[in-house]
Amino acid sequence: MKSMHRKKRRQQIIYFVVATLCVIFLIFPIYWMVISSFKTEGELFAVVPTFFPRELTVQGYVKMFGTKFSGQSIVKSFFNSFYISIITTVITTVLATLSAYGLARFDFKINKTLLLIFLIAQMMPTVLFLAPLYLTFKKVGLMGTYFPPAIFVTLHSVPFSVMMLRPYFLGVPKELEDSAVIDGCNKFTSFIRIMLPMIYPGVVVVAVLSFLWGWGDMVGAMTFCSTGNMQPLSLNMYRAMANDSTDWAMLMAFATIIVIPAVVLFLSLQKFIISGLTAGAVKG
Amino acid sequence: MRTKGKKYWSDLRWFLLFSMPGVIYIVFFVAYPIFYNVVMSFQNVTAANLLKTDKEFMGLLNYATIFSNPKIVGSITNTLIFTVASIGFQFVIGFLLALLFSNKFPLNKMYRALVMIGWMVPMLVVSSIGKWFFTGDGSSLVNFFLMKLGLIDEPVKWLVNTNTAMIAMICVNIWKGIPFNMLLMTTALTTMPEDIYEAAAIDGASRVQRFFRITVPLLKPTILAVITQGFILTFKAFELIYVMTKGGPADTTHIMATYSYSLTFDQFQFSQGAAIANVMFVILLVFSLFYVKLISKDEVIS
Repeated sequence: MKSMHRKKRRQQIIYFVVATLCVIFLIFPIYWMVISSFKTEGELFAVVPTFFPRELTVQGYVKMFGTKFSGQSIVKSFFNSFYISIITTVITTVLATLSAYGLARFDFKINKTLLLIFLIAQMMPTVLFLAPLYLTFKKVGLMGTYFPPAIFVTLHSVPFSVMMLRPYFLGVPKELEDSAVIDGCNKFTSFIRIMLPMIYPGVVVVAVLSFLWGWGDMVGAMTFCSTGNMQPLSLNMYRAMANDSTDWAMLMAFATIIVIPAVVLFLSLQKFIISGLTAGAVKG
Repeated sequence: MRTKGKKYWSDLRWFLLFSMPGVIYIVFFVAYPIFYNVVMSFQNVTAANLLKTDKEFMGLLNYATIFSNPKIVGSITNTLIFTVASIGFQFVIGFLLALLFSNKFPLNKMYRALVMIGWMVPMLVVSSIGKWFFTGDGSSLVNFFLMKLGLIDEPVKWLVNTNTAMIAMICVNIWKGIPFNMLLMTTALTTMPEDIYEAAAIDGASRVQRFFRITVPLLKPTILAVITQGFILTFKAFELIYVMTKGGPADTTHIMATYSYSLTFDQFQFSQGAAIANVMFVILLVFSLFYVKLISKDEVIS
């Protein structure tokens, strides 16, 4: 008995060591991004790279905040990114919860077709949309607002969220809602008062993911906000990199600034995100 | 009969009120562009006549043009290599890690959360870190490691050479995809019923038998889900290539998505760009229908 216990213990230690090495491998690039942003020019290009910088500098950050990217300060870009992400989040959360609920709660012949539409929309290559959307936005006068890049992101996030949220609604017992209807709620008030509180972890995941997709999107920004004063951080970062003499310290500072909201949001909502994704992706 | 009819109509009304806003929104912004692209791919649309109404009908000429352009055919090959290699490695590595992380050991939960952070990092940032890892004349970090390990004798200029650039981009994409694969499969593995394994062990099934006869079949829905998600994301990858090589050198590392974009927005060959996008559309459509058939057979969509 004792030897078996020891064997188990030893096995756990081996697992732990292997897992530690794997995790180091998987998060090393992020670590490398952060320390590169604090390195001096000399250390960045040292023949033998330093894994723990000998000297730390915030030059990259100073330069980033001091530079105007296509005539725009980085603070302005930060807010542009924020507005685009918020619009993405609102459109996605509202449309996806409503549709997911409708498709989960009612059973009509057309359900399958509608689900198929969302599934196919989610799979569509995003480049397919760009040129036609560009012309559409121009025609309806949305160019020059924050909507075009946000709408572009929602074309992926709305279908994804519908597919993810539907199993949540399916998991809520129908009796719960029926009793609310007997109590005088109509379907919409019972949706708001009963259903949404029951499935809010799913809604949180959808909101966070769509915010992050809006935040990180470069393609929509590049296509719809390449001029004017609505350029988001992602686009400016891409531009800072596109020229041949890339300033890597500044670029990694840029990358770090973009990643921080993602990491903060994720860490604060980690519990929901992992369980939410699993529920949706497996059943969806 | 009449009351049933009334309930039916009331349900239908609520059903439409709930589901239609999302459906109409998606159909308008997705179906319309698809239709528009099909029309455009049969015409001759360039910067000169983009906003005019008199566009020439070209038939299948644009498709003939793209399929006779070796660079575009190359981009199709690249897309296939990129997709298959990325998904294959992501899946295998993710699966092995999932098997590891489904065991009990200290800090397991914290490690999983750390790995998840990698998945949250936007593709643009991942691509820029990738470019930094493989950068330049040979002073890159990857070269340092490979030379330390004795795998290469001289620094490799990863991103200026077609084959090495493809390898570099595939590596970065694999890295990005591992967390998602790993976490979904870890969760599926840890929620598996223990008693089946015990029963099988008592019946004398070996470890290998238990793995292939119990674990893999039970994991099938999850495996299907991660491979499909991986396929969708990889097939329409864009930022990674656009940031790391922008299709260069000499347009040899393009995948279909970046080539279509470059034709449309850099060269203003709207019709040819649309034609490539449509080829992608057809491939993905066939794949989605195949996937739908697969999951509805398994009744995963309930």
